[in-house]
Amino acid sequence: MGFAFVLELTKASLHVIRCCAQPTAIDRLSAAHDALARVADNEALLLVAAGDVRRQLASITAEIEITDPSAIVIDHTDAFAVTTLSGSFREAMARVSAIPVPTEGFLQGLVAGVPCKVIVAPGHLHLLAPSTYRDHVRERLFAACADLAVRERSSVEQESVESMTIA
Amino acid sequence: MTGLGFVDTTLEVRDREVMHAHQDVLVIGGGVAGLSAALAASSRGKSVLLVEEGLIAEKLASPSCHAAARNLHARLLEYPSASILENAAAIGIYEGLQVPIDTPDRLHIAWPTNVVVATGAVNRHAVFPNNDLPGIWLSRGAGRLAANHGLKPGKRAVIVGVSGETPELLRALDDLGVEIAAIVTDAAAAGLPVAMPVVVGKLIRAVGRKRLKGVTIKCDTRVRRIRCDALIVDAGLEPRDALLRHSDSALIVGAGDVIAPGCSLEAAIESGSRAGGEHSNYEKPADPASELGASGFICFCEDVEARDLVDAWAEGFDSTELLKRYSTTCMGPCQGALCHANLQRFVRARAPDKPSASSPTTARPPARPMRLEDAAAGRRYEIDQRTSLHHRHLALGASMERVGAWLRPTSYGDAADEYAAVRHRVSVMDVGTLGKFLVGGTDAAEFLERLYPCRVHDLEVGRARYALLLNEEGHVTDDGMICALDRGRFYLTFTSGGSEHAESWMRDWVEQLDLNVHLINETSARGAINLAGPLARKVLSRLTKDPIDPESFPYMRVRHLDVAGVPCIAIRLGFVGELSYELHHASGQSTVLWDKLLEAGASEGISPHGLDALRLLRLEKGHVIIGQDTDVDSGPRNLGLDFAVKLDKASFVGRSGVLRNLEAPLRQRLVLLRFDDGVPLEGAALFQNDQPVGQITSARLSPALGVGVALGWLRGTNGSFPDVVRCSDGEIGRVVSRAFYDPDGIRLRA
Repeated sequence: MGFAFVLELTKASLHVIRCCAQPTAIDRLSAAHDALARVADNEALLLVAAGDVRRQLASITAEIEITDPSAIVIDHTDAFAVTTLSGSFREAMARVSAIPVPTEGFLQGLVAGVPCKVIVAPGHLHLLAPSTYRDHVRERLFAACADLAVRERSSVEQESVESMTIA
Repeated sequence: MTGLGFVDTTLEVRDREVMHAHQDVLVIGGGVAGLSAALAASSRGKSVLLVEEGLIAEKLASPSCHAAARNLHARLLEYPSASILENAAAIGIYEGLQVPIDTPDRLHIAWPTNVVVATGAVNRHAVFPNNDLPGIWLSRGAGRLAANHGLKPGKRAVIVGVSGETPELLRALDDLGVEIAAIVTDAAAAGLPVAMPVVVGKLIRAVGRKRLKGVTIKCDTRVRRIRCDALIVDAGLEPRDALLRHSDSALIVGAGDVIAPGCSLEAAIESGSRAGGEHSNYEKPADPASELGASGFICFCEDVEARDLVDAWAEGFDSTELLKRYSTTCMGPCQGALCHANLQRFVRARAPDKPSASSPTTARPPARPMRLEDAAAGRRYEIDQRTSLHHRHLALGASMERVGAWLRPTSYGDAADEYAAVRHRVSVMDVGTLGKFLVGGTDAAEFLERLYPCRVHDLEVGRARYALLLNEEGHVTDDGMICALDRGRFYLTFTSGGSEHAESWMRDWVEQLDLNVHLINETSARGAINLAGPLARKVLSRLTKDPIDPESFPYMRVRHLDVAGVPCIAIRLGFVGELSYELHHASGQSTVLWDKLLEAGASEGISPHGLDALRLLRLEKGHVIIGQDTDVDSGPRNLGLDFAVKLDKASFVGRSGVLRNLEAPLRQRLVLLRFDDGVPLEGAALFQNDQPVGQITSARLSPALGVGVALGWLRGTNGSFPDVVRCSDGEIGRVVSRAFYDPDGIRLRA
């Protein structure tokens, strides 16, 4: 009988663009991009596919500087360890975090005791932990979800996330 | 433990994990009312978690209740949004609403919107002489024993007290052939079989030494002794309402016996349905007047007898709260489940005109004993923060130490050689743990000017400046560098472990000052490697085409450098006292840069150095480590860092505090101490003429000087400080005014 995995962890190859600007500039950006995660009044994250990062950086910078020429838009991928959880990801989150996981959308809070950002999409969830806690979060997921038969996959190329809506 | 059995010392402490649950409604109690509430809530489209400390309906003694519970249970299972946890005990209701639930495999933490408490009721515990003898039963316990498990509570039983549950109890006992010696009531009882030996009277005492032999009954003026080996007492019901009393929130309601003890089956279903539906506020039912015996145990858990309360009352402990604390009644494992009502009754009988005296004691979670391993569930681990080079350090055989949340290399095996590499050859150190921030926005310079005590406006692009971070009192909380980048942006560094405080501090001030500032914490995003040593430039030149000669890239400057294909923000500074390049780069490329630097410096004998070497290197330069050499009230003046404070600036955080401190005489200061005859211990006391005058904060044997070097605090008198001190171990220390190593800074400016 084969091993039936329940929870799958995948190191995501998504890139993270961080935008810091005046709130009005972030407001305009939010209206134009479904996949923008608003982390603060004056700050937002955008997840983009690896091959798309340069184009997106240039495009977002041009777009946001219309409203706020002093805005900072940077590729902040190295700040995060991005893991995609699929399968029983809700059960997994319940074991490592008190955050209620919505059907879809963006949220932030403690996961495994570490401040993380979470993007929930149908069928999976992207967990963005500070990269300095990469090992800790991985170890906690394995320990707390031991009963879920965790399977780990190496990085896979992500499809475009433009279509992903973050409420 | 006396009266509570033995502690099993062989038990292993388990690493308990947690499971968070976010259902809309939490129902505590799997009896008829709880099941009814869960069903009602589910039918309204709510997600429901029902928890039962045993098995569903397990505690129900009556067949009719069992049948109703089975029916409700089956209907509840049809709702996919309803979850049931058996063997799951709610520990308490905390603010939030947060309800920890103990189960055999893990600790569940429920975060419901509403809670229905349907924990039922227990028989009131009667107080009479010898009420702790084996053979004395509460009537529901005896009923469950007989009806559910087919076990006899005794061969010949006396039943004291009659309620609506008595007929079913009698049937269950009769089925097992238990002889009923007497049914004692204080009034004529209806609804009992005619043949039953009903006695109108009052229980005086239980008789027996090691177990029950009989009871003494008072009937009118006569006293009768009845032989029996089981005494089944039904003195009414007490609600199990500890959880309900944890909060007066309208979001927590009761259902069934817990709000109406002894209610009928129909009433329990109706009550549950209402609680799972619209919700109603809980009001504790009025306590029926009943007499409390003058002798016998009140609190079984804590061995408190009625006479103990009488004595306490006589001593002036005249309320439930005071009596509880004095006598420890209600403070045992049952947390007042059995004795709380009797404590109230005791006070009410003595202070009938003062209701506040007999009010319920404050119920606080936990409502039941919990293990320490449950308190630590899901968090019994240390959170390690690691740089991208962590596994490189391990591969090089580094011993790691925890510095705040960071794991950092102490040494790679030979700290002396690591020191020598920095002083005489070239070395690398992972300083990715430094706090790192990018600051932009139209008001970035203005913000930093008002935050830092040093000047910022005159910092030209490409320049770097050492800066202190002060709090409002003018005390030093952190230090680091301010680097002016292009486009009006600044790159800031703080001490390792200082980034979280620095971020919240800066964000607070941005908000307070209402400035247009963009702040990005780059601590995780950027790694940093310090390339240091007299041969550092030679090694670096092999990896970059950018000019790095002393004229193009002098001390205290910052440049964008491409090093082995890795874009870096390079800062020329000298914490270790040698020519140094701090290379800040995307942390995802740390390993590439590290490997390339080691490869390029191999012919120069490059090796990494850890914290052991670093602490010695900086001490020879007299550089302070914030937190190790400083206290919470250390000011720039005490630390000899006045140069980093520009009081001619109109405003900066901590300015008034610094000015205030300047007006007061200098009481203590941090000094450099040279010990020619040994190395004092860090923390050692310093004396002058046998009077304590200070202590050592850092000390090492300096290879460069061949003597002990230290930093330490000295207290002064009228602005005068000792020049020579004696350490508690006898070493003599002399205060020196300049850095031990390269006091003119020639090497680091090279």
